[in-house]
Amino acid sequence: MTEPLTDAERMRLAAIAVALFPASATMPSAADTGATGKWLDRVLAADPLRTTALRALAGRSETDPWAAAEGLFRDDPATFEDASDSLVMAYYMHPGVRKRIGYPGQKGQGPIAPDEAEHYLPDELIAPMRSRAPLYVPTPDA
Amino acid sequence: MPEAEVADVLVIGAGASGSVLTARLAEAGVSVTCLEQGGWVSASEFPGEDPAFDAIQLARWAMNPNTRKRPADYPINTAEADIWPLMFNGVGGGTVHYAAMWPRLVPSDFRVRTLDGVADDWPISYEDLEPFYERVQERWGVSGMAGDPAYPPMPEYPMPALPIGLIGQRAAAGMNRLGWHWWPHPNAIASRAHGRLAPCERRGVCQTGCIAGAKSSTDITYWPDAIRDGARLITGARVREITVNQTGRATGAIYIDRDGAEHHARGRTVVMATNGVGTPRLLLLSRSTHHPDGLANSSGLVGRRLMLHPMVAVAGTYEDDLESWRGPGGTPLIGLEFYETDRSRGFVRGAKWDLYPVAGTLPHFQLLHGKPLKERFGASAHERMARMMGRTFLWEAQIDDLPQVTNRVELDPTLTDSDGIPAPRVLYRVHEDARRNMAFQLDRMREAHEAAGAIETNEWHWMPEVGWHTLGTARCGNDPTDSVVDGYGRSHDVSNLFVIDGSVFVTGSAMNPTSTIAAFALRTAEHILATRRDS
Repeated sequence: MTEPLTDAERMRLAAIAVALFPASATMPSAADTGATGKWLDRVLAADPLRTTALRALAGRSETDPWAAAEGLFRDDPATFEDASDSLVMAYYMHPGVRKRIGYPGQKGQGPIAPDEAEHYLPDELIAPMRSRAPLYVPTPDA
Repeated sequence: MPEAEVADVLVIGAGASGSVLTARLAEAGVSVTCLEQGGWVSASEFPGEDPAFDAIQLARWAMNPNTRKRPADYPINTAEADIWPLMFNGVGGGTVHYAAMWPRLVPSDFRVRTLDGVADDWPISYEDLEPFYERVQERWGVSGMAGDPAYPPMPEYPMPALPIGLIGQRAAAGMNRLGWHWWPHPNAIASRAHGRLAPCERRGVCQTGCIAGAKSSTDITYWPDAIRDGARLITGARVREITVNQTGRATGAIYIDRDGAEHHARGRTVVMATNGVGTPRLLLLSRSTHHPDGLANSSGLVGRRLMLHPMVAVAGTYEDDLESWRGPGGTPLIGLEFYETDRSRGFVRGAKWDLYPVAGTLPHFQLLHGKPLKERFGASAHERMARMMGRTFLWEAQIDDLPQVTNRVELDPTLTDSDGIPAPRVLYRVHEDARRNMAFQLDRMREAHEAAGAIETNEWHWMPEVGWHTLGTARCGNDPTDSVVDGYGRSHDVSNLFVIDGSVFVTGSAMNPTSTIAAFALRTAEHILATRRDS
């Protein structure tokens, strides 16, 4: 059983998350989205074992959040990737962030339209393949 | 221990092969009982629409049973394996989780010894399986386009091919510039309503279960009919031993139900359909006076010659928005330019290429694992995501790794499943020939992206968690000293025992195996019916 993150660890992760995802002209920061709050909860609900790597990141001795991330990446790359993956997932779970990057989620688009396949596959695109000689090697003893 | 009525045929495993065989035999009026260690999976469990999709598919809905740890799963010791087996345990088996790619093997895959002087020939040919490929794809529900020059001529598929989308267009144009083969990939995904299948909505989450009900998994396409026709499916039935009588013939199976009670299911014929890890595990567990080294193992090859497909991939990022999160995933294109042997490349056999969309947000960052932080986080993070989201897709190469007797499944001396049954241990090393193949394909895939106009490429050189296809551990052949079963999957040692899953593969090919497994199972079902009538 993995112990939940403490409030202090959450605060530390929030600072590191902002270093990894700062505000820009078009994008909110990790703090603006509450990434290390309810969205990180969603990640940890899906996979509580991710807490271990996040705890390692939160526990770095470097005062500066970016230096803490750099330090874990240098000393234990696998744990850093595990922890940063969790923060990536939490940040990009926010609907506003998804909208800004043009990602609708894996939503249904409705049934395929009758002419949709042909639309993407015009004759001139596939013509070189239709005119190719066979590539396959026939069964020798057939 | 309770004794059940004797079924004509007892099938172990309700996945791809067990479904096909059970349905055909039940349709013909044969009494069939199937034991499945898992249960039914509801589409409501599939995580595709959950905002936490990325995290869920890496944890409780992972393809690796060691990660997923559902009650029906058993652990696998992979400490000495370059590639880790993936599977799903439940009604439908791996078809619940597969990408539904439906390529056939090509004729040369059955004649590797004759054509390339390595490995072995199959005891059957492409032509032997051809009519069964055609029959299963109708019932299974396959969308595709006939005319692929990489294959012998074949009739049209039951449904038109899925749209190749913007990523398919872009990739195909690049391949045309290089003069390299591509074709719309056949997928067991309905491009329009077909039987119990709904039309595809291109969600791109095929491998975590299809929410729309468009992907053909056998819990949808086979089991309802099989049960209607009288087949008996017992779920939550974990088999620990195939039983034999005093003469060494199979009599049934001992299984443990979810309350911990043992039962003896009996069958006049026993059929193993529990994949290339589960089948050798059970055969090795079934030691007896007649079969001291495990059932059907006089050749010593049960568990040996395991083949898993290594995979490498190159992601290309493009300037245009290509909606590269859209499905099928599944794959819209197949590439077979480097499939057949060309010894000038420095290796035999080749690879199958698949075009992949990128579902979710996390994979865009996973592609950058290991790169300096300043290239992917901080000020770079938003620029990188804007550059990649919707604009990145993958060419992936699936490698033909030929059989080695040292690559194997055996019983772990200490690890057990939740019922105390010894777990499998997998020992697997990718052959040097396959490693050269991987390096070659990486270079070619990068060229394919560049020809298509990619502004950046990132490579996955090594992926251990790709053992979807567990093959070869009870190979078929004509020589009982060098094979476990014959060309119909019948054991050389035990005449009323069959193996019909991917264990029977002689060589692994580089193709996704489900269509071949299904065709082989149907051919075996017809053989069982024919020999019953004859006798």
